[in-house]
Amino acid sequence: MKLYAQYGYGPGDKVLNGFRDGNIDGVIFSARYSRPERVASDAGDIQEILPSADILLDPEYYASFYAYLPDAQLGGLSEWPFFLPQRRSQLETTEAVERVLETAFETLTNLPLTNIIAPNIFIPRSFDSIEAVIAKNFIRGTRPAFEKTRDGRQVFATLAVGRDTLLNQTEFEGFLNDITALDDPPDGFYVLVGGGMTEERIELTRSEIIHADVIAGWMLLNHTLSLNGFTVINGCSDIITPFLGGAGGYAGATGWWTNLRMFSMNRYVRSISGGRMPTIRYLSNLLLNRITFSEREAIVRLMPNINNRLPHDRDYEGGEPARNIEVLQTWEALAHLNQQLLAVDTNASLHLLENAVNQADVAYTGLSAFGLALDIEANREYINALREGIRTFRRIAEI
Amino acid sequence: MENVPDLILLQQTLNEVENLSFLAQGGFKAVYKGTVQGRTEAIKVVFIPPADIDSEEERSEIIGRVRREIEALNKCLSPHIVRLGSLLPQLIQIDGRDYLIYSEEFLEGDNLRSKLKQAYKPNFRELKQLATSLFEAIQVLKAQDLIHRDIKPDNIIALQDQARPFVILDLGIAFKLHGSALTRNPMYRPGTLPYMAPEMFNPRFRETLDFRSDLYSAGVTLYEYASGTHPIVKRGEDDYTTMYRILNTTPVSLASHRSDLPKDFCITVDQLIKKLPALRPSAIQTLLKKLEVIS
Repeated sequence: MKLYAQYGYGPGDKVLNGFRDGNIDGVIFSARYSRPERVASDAGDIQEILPSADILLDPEYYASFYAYLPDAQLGGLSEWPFFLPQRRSQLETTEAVERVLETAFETLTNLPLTNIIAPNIFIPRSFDSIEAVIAKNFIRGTRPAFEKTRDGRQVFATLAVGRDTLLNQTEFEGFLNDITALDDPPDGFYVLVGGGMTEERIELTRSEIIHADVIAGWMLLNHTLSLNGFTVINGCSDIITPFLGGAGGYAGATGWWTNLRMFSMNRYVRSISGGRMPTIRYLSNLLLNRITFSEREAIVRLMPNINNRLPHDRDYEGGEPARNIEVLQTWEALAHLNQQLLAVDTNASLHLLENAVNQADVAYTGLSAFGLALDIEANREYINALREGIRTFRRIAEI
Repeated sequence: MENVPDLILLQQTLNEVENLSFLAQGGFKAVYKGTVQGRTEAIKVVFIPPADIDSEEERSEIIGRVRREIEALNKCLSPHIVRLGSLLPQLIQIDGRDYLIYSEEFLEGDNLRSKLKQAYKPNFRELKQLATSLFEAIQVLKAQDLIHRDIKPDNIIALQDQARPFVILDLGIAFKLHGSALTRNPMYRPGTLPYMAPEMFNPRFRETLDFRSDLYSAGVTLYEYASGTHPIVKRGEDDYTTMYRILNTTPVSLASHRSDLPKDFCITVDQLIKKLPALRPSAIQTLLKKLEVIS
C-alpha cells in the first residue's frame, strides 16, 4: 500500500524530507494551501527526488457550501476558478454538477499532476439525503466530464463523507451498491471520512473515527471499491492506513497537523477553542498509537519494544525532537506498518492486523502491570475499537 | 401446467407444425417438440386464463410475461441464450381454452440438473466454459436492461458444440429495469428460492435490483455444478429456513469441495455469491478477462 503526504499549511521541507527518507510515495496537495503556480514548482521539487512520485491535488470543493459563512477559513480556495460559493439548491441539477466538473477539469488538467481528483461535495450525515444524491451525480458525472478534456491521466471521484453516514448499514450498503455499478465509472475514488460542521466548531475527537463501526465501514468502502476494479486513495487516514490497505485500499495519507490526520469540515471555519500547539508524539507500531515524548521516555526502559527500531527513533533519544521531525517519524512508522501487516490477500492481511492489535493489547496490559496506566481506559477502548472494526468488517464482507 | 391441451387437438390446430410430441410441463407452460419449416423446434404452449372478472389480472400478467420474454429473446442475441424459433406468437383456442403459442430453437442436450443427478463431476475446462457462457449471457441481458432472475441448473443446457457449450433458457420471469411491474402481488418474489439473491428479499427490491442478482445465481449454479452441493441450501429444509440461510449463512469456499480446481477460480465463484451486491465483482468484462488467464 502506498503512503502519501497530506499537504497542509506550512509544509516547509517536511514533505521533501519524507521523500528523501523513502517513506512516502506521493503527495496530495491542498487547493486551500497551494496556488496553481506553487503546485508546479513543488511537484518539480518532489519529482527531482522521486521521479515516480504520485502527485495529486484535492480540489477541496466540498468546502464551497461554507464560503458564505462570515468566519469561513478558506485560504487560497477562492482563487481557484472552479471554487465558487454554492448553496445546496444550486447543485440539485445534473447540469450544474457537470458545469462544476468541467470547469474544475479545465484547471486541474493544466497542472503537472500524475492523476486528477475530481471535485465533489461532502455528505454529512446520511446516504439517504439530498447531499448524497448530489454527490452521486458528481461521481456519475466525473468520467463523462473528464473525457471531454481528452486527458490521458486517471481520474478519481471524491467521496467525502461524515463518519455518521457509515453507521446506518442499510443506507450505506445501498450507496455502495449504487456506486459500484456505474455505467461510466471513474478510475478510482479519493475517500475522506471525518466529521461534518458542528455548531460548537470543535474538532473531531479521535474516538469518533477510531470507532468500530466507522473503521469497519471505511474498510468496507475500500474493499467493495477495490473488488470492483477501482483504485482507492484514502485522505487523512493516518493510523487507519494499514487497516484500509488490508481491505484493498491502494493508498493512505497523513500530514503533520491534527487536521491532516483526521478529516473534519470544521477546518474550514475559525474554531472557538484556542490554538494551543499539540504535544509532540511518537507513533509506536507496537502500541498502534502515539505517545508523548515523556511517556516514551518512561516506558522504553521497561518495554524496549515500544520502539520501532527504525532510523527516526534516534531523533527522540537526545531530548524532545523538533516539531518538523514528528511527521517524518509518523511516515516512517506507517510505511513500516504497511510493509509488515499487508499480505497479498485480504484474509492474510486481516490475520496480520488482528495479531498486531492483539500484541498492542498485550503491551498495554504489560504497561499497566508496570504501573504505567497511560490513560488505560481510553487505550483499552481504542484497541477494542480496532479489533471490533476488523471483526465487523469480516462479518459484513464475509471474509 | 394445468389444462395441458390434448396433443391431437393441438396438432390439428397448428397446421405449420409437424411431428408434435410432448416434452415437459411446468407452471403455465408446456413444451412440445415439433418440426416447423423442416426444422426441429421447441413449441411453447402457455395457458391463458379466461377473460373473466376473476382471472383478468392473472391473464394480463401471463400475457405480459410472454410478450416480455419474446421481446427479450428478440433483443438478446447471444450464442449463450436460447433463440426464438420460426413459429410467431399466436393466441389459439383449444377445447374452449386460450393458449399462447410460439417456438424456440430445439436444443439437443442435457440440462445441468440432470447431470447433477447423475453425480457428474465437471473438469475445470468445462467449468470455465460454463462461467464464460453465463457471464457473456448476463452481459448481453444487462445491455438490454434485463435481469434473467431464474438462472439455475435446470435452465442451462449443455450442448456438444464448442461455440455454444452452454445455453440459458427461459426468460419467462425476466425483469426489465425501468419497465412496468407485471407481478400482481407486490410481496411475491418470482424465481426459484435456492437461487435467489439476498437482495430479492428486500421489500423494495424492485427499486434496487440489478444484474448482480444474476451474477449471484450464476455463482450459486457454478458452485453447485462444480461441487455437487448447493452452497447454502440443505435438502429437505422448509422455505423459511432456506430464506434465512440465503440472508445469513456464509458458504464454505468452493475450494474446500474441489481442491483440484485453480484457487483463483474458486475465489471468483465465492465472490459471486456474496450477500451484498457491491461485494460481487460487477465489471463483467474484467471477470471474463480474469477467467481467461486462470489455468
